[in-house]
Amino acid sequence: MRRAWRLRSTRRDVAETAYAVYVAGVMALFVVAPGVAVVIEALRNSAVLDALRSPAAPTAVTLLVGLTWAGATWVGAGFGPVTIDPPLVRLWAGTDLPRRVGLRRPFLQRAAGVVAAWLAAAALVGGVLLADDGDLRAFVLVLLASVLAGTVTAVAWLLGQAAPRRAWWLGLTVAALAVLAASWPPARWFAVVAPLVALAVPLLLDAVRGPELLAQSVRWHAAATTARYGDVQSALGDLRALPRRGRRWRALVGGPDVVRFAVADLVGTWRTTGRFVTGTGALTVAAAALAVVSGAPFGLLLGAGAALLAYLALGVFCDGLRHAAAIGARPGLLGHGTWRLFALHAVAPTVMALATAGLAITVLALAGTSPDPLPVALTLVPVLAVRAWGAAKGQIPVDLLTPVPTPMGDLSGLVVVSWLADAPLVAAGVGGGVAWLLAVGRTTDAVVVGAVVVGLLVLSLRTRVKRL
Amino acid sequence: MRIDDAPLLPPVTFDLEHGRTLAVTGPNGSGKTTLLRVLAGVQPPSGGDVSVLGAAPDERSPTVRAGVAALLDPPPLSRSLVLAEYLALVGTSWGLELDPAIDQAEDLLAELGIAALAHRFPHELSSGQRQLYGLTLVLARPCTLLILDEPEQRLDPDRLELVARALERRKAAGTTLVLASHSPTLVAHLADERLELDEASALAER
Repeated sequence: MRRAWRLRSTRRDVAETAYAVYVAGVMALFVVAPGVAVVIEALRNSAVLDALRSPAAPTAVTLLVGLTWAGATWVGAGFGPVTIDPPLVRLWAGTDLPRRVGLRRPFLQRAAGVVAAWLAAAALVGGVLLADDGDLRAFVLVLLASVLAGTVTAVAWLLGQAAPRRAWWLGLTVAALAVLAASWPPARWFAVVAPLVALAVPLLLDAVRGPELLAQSVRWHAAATTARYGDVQSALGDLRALPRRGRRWRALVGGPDVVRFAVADLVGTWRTTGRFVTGTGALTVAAAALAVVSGAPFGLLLGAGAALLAYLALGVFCDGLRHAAAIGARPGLLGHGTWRLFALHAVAPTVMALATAGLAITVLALAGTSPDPLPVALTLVPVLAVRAWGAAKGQIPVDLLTPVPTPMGDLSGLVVVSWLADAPLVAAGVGGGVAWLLAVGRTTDAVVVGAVVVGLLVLSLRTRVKRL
Repeated sequence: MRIDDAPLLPPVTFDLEHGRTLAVTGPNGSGKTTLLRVLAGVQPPSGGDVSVLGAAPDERSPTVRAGVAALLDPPPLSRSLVLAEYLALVGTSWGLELDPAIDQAEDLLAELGIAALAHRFPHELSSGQRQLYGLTLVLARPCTLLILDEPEQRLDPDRLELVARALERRKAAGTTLVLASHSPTLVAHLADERLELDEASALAER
């Protein structure tokens, strides 16, 4: 088994390993460490420290981590942690070796990545506390708890892959357990759960079905290949969950086209229920953050982050816009012109933006705060326009894939990344800009900025649609 | 038809009257698909004159989009609608009310022998079923000129017979049909006229 992995892997020689270590060290020392120090210093203020030390913090942590585990279970149903090369899947799935042996290594590699991500987040939070009170023991405890939480996250992810058809209910069960355990101290709760679920890993690896493993591996690798060459629309299309339920639900209704397309898009999205719920939840959180952005510390960062979250969440409801772009490039199949198709498919994400904004503002008002609908509107409307604009972007021009040789290596990747990142950057920029302008009392300017951005995006969208 | 200096299609001349069927035949690389793309208005010709339904073909023109239906590649499908729903959506987009559009969708699926797939999602289809579904989609919309590029792809003889009969019905209803095909069955069933493209002519142009 080890020999097979060794033969299949692309091993570095000593010089390459030394260079990789050198680059990682330099990056950590001169890029990561100063960045982390700046973030920790920025977060070390009374509002953040009070929140971290509040009596409700342990409950919130237990709940949030538990909900993350539930989310990992849902994600695993479509994109599990074990995604080796498709030929290897055929090899391992077709032999008489137990899957707990054949798939252990790729799972452990992914699990290590998950744990590392948790550790990084915990180091940031723990770092804020350590910088304030110098309590090293508490810092180490936070790190240990994050390792345990990361372990459970990885196993929950594998659980979704091992039982994809029950993942929805399993995730709900995990979420319910998180709620029930909310009164436990997080570290103790994680210490109880992590060893128990770790014992289940061999059983879960054995339970992964070959066809499911192959389908997920093919999807991941197709997406990775297309993403490498800048075709992120196709890459994300490969990764997007496919509907399996609700085939008898009524997705078409009579009446005007606007209603028919909106209902078809929303019912279609509801057929990937986990995706719908995640998108709705994230959009509601983003709207809530925008509603309180005016009075919040770091309003600019919060506004940018919330706009980015709204951009990502709205993507769930924009399948229709992507379909309109695909249709627009072909001889007429639907009886509507491409521009009209874009307008019809824009209704569903607009409805969801309105609904989630209304929900967030209502909940905040009931909770006794004073939510401000203006930043919500001034950010969500441009973000909707960004989504439509991004859907009609098309494929990356071949010229941008040309190698850019420099003494530091080929920098064509930077060109591709800058081409890819325009939509999220515009979204985050609008969110941050609007939040900052409102915070300094320049309400009229904020309205003008929102309107100008929407106008420019719509003009650019018209050009893009004509080119499809 | 050329891209830069590379010829894709040698000069061809033909007239096709309304309601007639033209079968374009020839080996791979002889320019069949290019000719169909020009007729569908997807690719402008680099020389010569082309007139379809009385105008230069351009798929951006609403008149051309309304009159010309074409299946040149697998059409983009809605990933979250089942086959019958998307077919009905295509029907309603051309002015049908919902109930007649649903009836038409069921009839089309039955006509090509895939009624049992009405509630499947597109990703649940085999490649042959996808080809049949693509044909139902292009048949779901009204048109004066129907352009099909190798509709026989990935179809077994029985399905091919169904497709031939379905196209014969469109032809009898007055639809003008241009198809590129390697299938003697389809050509024998449908063609009133035949245009044989020669790979040698295309090469000679180089």
